[in-house]
Amino acid sequence: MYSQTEKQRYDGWYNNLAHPDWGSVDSHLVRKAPPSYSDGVYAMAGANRPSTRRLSRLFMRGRDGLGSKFNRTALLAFFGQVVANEIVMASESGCPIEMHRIEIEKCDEMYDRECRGDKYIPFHRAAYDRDTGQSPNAPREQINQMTAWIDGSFIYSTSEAWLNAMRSFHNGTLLTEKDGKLPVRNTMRVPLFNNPVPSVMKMLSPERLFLLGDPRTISIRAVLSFAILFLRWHNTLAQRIKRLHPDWSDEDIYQRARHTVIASLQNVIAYEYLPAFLGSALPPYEGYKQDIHPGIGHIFQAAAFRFGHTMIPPGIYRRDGQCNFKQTPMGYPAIRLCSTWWDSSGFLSDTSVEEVLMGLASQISEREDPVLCSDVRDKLFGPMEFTRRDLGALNIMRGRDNGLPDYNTARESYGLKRHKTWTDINPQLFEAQPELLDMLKEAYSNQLDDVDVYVGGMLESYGQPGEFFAAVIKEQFLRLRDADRFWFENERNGIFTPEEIKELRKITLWDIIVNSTDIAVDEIQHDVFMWHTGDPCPQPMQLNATELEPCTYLEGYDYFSGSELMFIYVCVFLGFVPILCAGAGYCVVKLQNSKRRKLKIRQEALRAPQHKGSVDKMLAREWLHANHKRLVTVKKGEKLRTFSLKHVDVVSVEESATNHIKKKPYILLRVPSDHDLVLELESYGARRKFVKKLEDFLLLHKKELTLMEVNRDIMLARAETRERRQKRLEYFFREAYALTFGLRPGERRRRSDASSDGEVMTVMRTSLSKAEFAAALGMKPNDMFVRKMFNIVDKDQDGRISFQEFLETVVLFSRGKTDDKLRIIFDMCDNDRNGVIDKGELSEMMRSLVEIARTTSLGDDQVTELIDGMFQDVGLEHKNHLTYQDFKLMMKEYKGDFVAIGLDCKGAKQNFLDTSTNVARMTSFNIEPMQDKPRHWVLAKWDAYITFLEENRQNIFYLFLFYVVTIVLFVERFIHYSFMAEHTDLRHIMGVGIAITRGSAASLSFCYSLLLLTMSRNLITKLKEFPIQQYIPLDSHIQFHKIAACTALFFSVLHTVGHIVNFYHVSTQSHENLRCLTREVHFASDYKPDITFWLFQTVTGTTGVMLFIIMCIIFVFAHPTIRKKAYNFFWNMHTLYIGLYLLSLVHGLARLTGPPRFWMFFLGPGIVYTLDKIVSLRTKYMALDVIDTDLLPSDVIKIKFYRPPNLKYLSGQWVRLSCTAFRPQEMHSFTLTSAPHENCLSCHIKAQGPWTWKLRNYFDPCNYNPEDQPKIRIEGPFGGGNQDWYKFEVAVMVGGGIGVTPYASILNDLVFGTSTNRYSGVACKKVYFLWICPSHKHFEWFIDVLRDVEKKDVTNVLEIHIFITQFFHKFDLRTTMLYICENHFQRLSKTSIFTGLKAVNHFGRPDMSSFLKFVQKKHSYVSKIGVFSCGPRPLTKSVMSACDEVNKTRKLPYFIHHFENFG
Amino acid sequence: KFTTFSTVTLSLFVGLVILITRLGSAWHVAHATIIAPYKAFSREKLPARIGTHIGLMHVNVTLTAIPIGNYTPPDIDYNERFMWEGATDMSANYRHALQRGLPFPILTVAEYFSLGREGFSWGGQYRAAGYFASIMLWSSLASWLLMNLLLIAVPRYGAYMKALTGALLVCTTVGYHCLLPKRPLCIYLEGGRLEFHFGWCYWLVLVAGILCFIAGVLISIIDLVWPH
Ligand SMILES: Cc1cc2nc3c(=O)[nH]c(=O)nc-3n(C[C@H](O)[C@H](O)[C@H](O)COP(=O)(O)OP(=O)(O)OC[C@H]3O[C@@H](n4cnc5c(N)ncnc54)[C@H](O)[C@@H]3O)c2cc1C
Ligand code: HEM
Ligand code: HEM
Repeated sequence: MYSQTEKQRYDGWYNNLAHPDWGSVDSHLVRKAPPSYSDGVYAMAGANRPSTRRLSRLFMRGRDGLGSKFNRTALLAFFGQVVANEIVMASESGCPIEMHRIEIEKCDEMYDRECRGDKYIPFHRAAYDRDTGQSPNAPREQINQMTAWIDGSFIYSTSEAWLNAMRSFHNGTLLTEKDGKLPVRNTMRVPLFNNPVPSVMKMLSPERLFLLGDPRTISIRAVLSFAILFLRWHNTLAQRIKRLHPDWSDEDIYQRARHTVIASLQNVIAYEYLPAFLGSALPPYEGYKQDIHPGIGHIFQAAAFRFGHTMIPPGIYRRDGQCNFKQTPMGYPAIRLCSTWWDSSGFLSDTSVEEVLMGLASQISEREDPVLCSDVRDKLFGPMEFTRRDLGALNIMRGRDNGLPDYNTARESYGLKRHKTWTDINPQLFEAQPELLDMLKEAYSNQLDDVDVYVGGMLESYGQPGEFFAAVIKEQFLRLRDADRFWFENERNGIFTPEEIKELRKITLWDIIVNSTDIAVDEIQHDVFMWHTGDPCPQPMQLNATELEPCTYLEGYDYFSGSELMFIYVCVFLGFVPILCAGAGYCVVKLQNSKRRKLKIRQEALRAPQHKGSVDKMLAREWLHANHKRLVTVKKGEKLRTFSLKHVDVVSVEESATNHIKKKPYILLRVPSDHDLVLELESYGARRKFVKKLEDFLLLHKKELTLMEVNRDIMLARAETRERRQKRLEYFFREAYALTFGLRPGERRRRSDASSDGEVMTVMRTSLSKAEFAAALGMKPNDMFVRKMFNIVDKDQDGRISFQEFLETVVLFSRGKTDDKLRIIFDMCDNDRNGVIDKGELSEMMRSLVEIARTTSLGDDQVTELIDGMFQDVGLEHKNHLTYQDFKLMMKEYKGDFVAIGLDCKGAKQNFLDTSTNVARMTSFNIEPMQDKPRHWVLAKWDAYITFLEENRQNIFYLFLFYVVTIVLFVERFIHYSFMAEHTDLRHIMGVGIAITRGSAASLSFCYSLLLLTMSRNLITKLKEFPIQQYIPLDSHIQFHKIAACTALFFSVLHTVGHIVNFYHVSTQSHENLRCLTREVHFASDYKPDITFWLFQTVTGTTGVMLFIIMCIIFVFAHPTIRKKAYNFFWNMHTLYIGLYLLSLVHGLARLTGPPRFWMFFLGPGIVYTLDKIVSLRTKYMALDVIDTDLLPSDVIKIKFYRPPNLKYLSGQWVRLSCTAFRPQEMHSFTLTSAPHENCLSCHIKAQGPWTWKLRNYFDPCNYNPEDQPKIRIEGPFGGGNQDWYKFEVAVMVGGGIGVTPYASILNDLVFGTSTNRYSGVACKKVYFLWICPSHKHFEWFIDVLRDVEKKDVTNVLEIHIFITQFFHKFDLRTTMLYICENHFQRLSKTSIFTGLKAVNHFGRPDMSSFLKFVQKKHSYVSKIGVFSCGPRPLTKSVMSACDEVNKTRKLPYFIHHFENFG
Repeated sequence: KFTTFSTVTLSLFVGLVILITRLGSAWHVAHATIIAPYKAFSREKLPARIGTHIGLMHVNVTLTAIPIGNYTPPDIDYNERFMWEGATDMSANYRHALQRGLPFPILTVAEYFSLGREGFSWGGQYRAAGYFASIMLWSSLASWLLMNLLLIAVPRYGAYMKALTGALLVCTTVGYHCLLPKRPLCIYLEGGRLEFHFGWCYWLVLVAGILCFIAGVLISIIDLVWPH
């Protein structure tokens, strides 16, 4: 099967058998003269030549309105453009856009009327082959985006898809509107150029355009008319062919018509247009020459063929067949060129193609001189930001862009001789205009070999292209003709027969016009390119711009306009997100605080249900001092203050006078021996109510109330507020101690200034109430001990301690003899003051002491037993009471202790004893004085430094590694975008912004991904069992989590701010810059993306904003305060991390700036973390039965629950726990207190906050209904800091507060491991356990645990010390007495009086560093000792610093500290 | 027994579908019989069957000569694949195809996909749709893997994941459908034209998605109503 002819491709390929790509679309321009890029490779030529605008002003400016020398018509001028469009398109900018500036001289008459001097014409370099321009032997080569062949690409486009959009597929025609006269509109959005219309400053819809084969057609109305003419010519031919060959298919007809159109076009161009244009004809056709290259030459494209610009007239005439020249609607004689650029679509509604063509044929073109008419030289179309450009300047600039050599060299390369002198260029011209010559010389600094090709060529030409340009043009068309296998005269291509060729040779443009339009044969001259006298319809006059409508010049368009407001909103919004989050965080903390307060009140109410009373609520403010008020509600809410009215009969109340109506009423309650209560009430009515209530209340208790009215200010001035009272008491103590001990050297006596003499008097008159006394001792007023002590001191029994009384006692304790002190104690015991102590009194005293220690472990019989024992000791077993002598005897052996007895009061700095004596008290620690010789301080510092490094070397190493990786990632991207991709559009538009943002994106991806690893808890727990744990500081994972998160935050903020700036830059870009910016997003030509688009309509922008919000929430809610006060909110907000990761994954998917990379960082950690979560889910999935619950004192509850069969754990580990009965989603961390060998799991939970209280109340036997069958879910177990204890031969464990829970399990495990003979992996030989608690009464359950442990500890690995911190750790009366009793008891029963344990009790806080030194000395044979601590942060901190301190001495063994904080 | 069997089969089926369709090239397909010139320097016309199979990251163009009447065609059987991983890949590939001198019909089809401006961005649109579907398939794959793990570890969550996997697959098809060129691509060749419709890859994903979703939801409901 064969078609009529070979198919000629639209894209110019396969024309030449040997070189299929010759002449095809997107092939290089060909270079005939050596390139003269200023760097030899790609940089614009002529860097040292004058601004092209200047050249254009010098040589191309001149008078318009001069007609063509040879009567060339405007039709020829514009047909020139058709020819150019047909064979070349090489001035379109490529990607990235390379912007250069054409300088504008100051005070340029067109562009710089205000003489600003900072203006320039933007110039975009043309697209080029990216493979060239990299080395001198392949300099930059521009690309011709049309086929070089004269193959109708102006009509049929260069692409099959495009053409198919134009075809009707019916009878071989192209699509037209119904009447067949106009092409269809571009509704399918074929990519026609849709440049802005200079007078509109807006992108218009591309669908308004005519669908034609060349994208540039609509730029000029005359050219559009030609395009339509040829379209109609095609359809006319197709109809004829159809008539001739009715049986031909659509395709055959179409191809035949196309070939004929091409042939006629070739004929017109080669044999009609060129002779008219050049003034000389091409040599006759000699046949197809296969070895000739058809490529468009650089000089042809950039200079020679642009000669035609000089002939362009400022407007076009239109006329009808009867020579009526048509006026524009505004009444101008012709259509102005510069007001109609790119605006051709509408004009055919009131004009016809015929009118335009006839007008053009009558119109004489501009003169062929160097001068360009002002419509193209000043008012050429331009981009929106610079709407009017200078074609002359552009032409010269294009020559430089293409690297054309200078004029002389170019001549030479076309076989012409070099000009030797300036006048050689154009002798006649320079003769006529000598000033031109001077200007030329001056402009080029008298360098003849530096003249731009276009300038030279134009100056050389007159009347027709000069010698040089003519040579270039002729050479070009010859090559185009001879190299074309499909040339119509080539008989061998089988398209046309010789007869047909002969016919075709006769076709002129006139034939085409007459045949395809309604123009009658005599309405237009035959030689349409020339207008000779006698031809129809002469033009009324030579057109001059001054007679035409003026062209608007809209200066500058700001692409950012319309985005400003949005941009500001966005910035403000993003700035407010963290602030809003912080506000929310603050509210949450407040909310949680108030919830907790309410809870506490409710809890108290539950505990004391007998408490009743009026619960009237009154709102009042307590006046504290001059300008501080706080809100109190009397009788409701938390109790802030209570008065004791026991010993008072008269309560005096003062009212502020009612004369100030405006100020709120005050009331003052004066209670003797306490500071006054001053209340500000809402209104006078409220005050009346309050007084009434108070009166009733007092009456009920048979007391009196005296009411006085005082002036408000006086009242406030006289009121004795708490602060004033406090100050007074301070004086009191200071005076007392000062008098006793004298002043320390160096202490100035403060009150010596004369003015305070009055104060001495007040101090002497001040007396202490019992409450104040108790507070000074640090005890509760109703302790029996305090009562007794008070009675002793208060010699006159008036219920208050006067200064004198206090002074005496202090003196006694500090200076008195042991005897006197004993006497006091004796008196204290001697309740009834009968001079002897009976057993009852003694046991009462004992009990009061033990009561201080708050333990119930001492039974009555034990006390009796103890007392009996004491009596027995001194051989008084038969006696029932003690005399003072007996007492002294009994206390004999404690004499030493009594020397040191003192009475400690707060605020008194004296009587201070070294805390280390406390260690000495630990009988088992016998430390000798240290015999270190003091080291030089430098060495000591050095030691400290080395120790620090040694201890933290792992952490430091990993931190270092982390930061190195983060920074390397940043730098790698930074460098990539700064240097490797510096020629991309991104870089051009965003500058270093893109490098910074991409760099920080890489770093933050890494940090965020790493965060997941730090939280893979199961993995970390598992790793702890392997040797590799030595090399990774697993315990610091949370620490590291925070560091990595903060680093990520830094980079995220950098990234966000950077991108906001980048997007700002992007939205200031013109449309064509955007086209290059990213190939992933396509914009319709009439769409202008603004900042809203970038931020809220792209995947990247939206997810970015969301990420930013999420990030802010997470970080704000991770603040320590919120974690502490509102953990629940922290946790819930923290779970947004899932969203963060998902969004991060999606964020980059739009590939705006590059392929997404987040997933690379995320993949590994993501998988690990997911698996880790699945492991957790497996345990969490099981609902475990509660076996047993036990309510223990001090709000602790023990929950025992089923142990899942496959759950393995180590002692010291913890789990996350939730209860199905309430808030089933909320997990809380608790240490497992059961030992690993036990069958069930258990936890001890102290009620602290909302959840734990709820749990406790739920399991309270009063409320608990076992039928409900609540279940426990756990997640874990996870490694605690304490789980490694078994690896150390010697270990020191310190537990405080609820932090003892891990040790419940550990100690059990320890004694189990050491006492059974089985191998258990426990390496411990000696374990010191230090339990620090306020009093035994807290955590009694733990005493049970310890008791149990002691019983099982057959090998005596364990040594327990209990530190009771409730007391001052200085020696004072109480502790000494307690101590005596304890000692006694220990001797008798080998157990403690308080706990019944073998463990030794101590009072006060342990001195950790002394203790550690002691351990160090004792176990010098091991190399390291594990120190474990758990409890409140201050505790673990102090242990930590003690370890550091001891390690600093650089002795073995070495202490390794592990710790755990709860919460 | 039966449930295990069906669960395992379904899971394997879905996994397989995800893997195959990601690579498969029959998401959007078109076929036509043409008689068109197929080479330069000749007037010869070739009766042939041309097929265009659009996958997620590529388009496959097949050209097979067919006999008409007593005409025995030359042995022409092309299957050309044009990848479009990068935004400019397709136009580069088209250029490369020109250099290699592929038959005209194949070039024409490839040209349609290599254009990328204004309304002529079918290639870009198919690429965007394919990119979306491919991302969705990746996430379905991740979800599928997780589903299998969870089905073993914690069946309840496994069921949820199953529903999620199904939903993702359905979303894939819905998204692909929505992202296809608004103005359908229609390629004219002499003697015929290519009009596109969904291919088996598309339908397979849809079916697998629906099955998986239904199964997941069913199991979840059963689990919620009768735990264990
Ligand atoms: C590793 C570890 C082990 C713990 N072991 C025990 C234990 O054996 N016995 C015990 O009584 N308590 C233990 N805790 C403390 C226990 O988690 C909190 O007391 C409990 O969660 C408080 O909850 P709430 O809502 O009642 O109190 P809130 O008043 O809300 O919180 C009190 C304190 O507990 C912290 N906290 C709150 N919720 C959690 C949570 N879900 N996870 C971790 N901390 C939280 C808060 O930061 C706050 O500082 C442990 C904590 C940790 C981190
Ligand atoms: C955006 C950044 C962050 C991300 C993506 C992130 C992610 C995570 C993840 C995945 C977990 C584990 C959750 C779990 O086990 O279920 C976690 C836990 C935790 N994060 Fe973050 N985190 C971020 C920031 C922070 C910050 C800034 C802090 C504190 C300064 C912080 C403190 C913690 C703590 C303390 C935990 C453990 C909570 C607990 O187990 O009780 N995180 N985080
Ligand atoms: C308004 C805020 C933000 C904007 C405008 C923004 C914008 C961008 C842009 C344009 C990119 C390049 C994507 C591409 O090439 O297609 C990017 C990448 C990235 N951004 Fe953002 N971003 C914002 C906020 C954030 C935040 C808060 C985070 C971190 C939590 C983040 C993390 C990332 C990451 C990880 C990448 C790399 C993505 C990848 O390579 O896959 N961004 N961002």
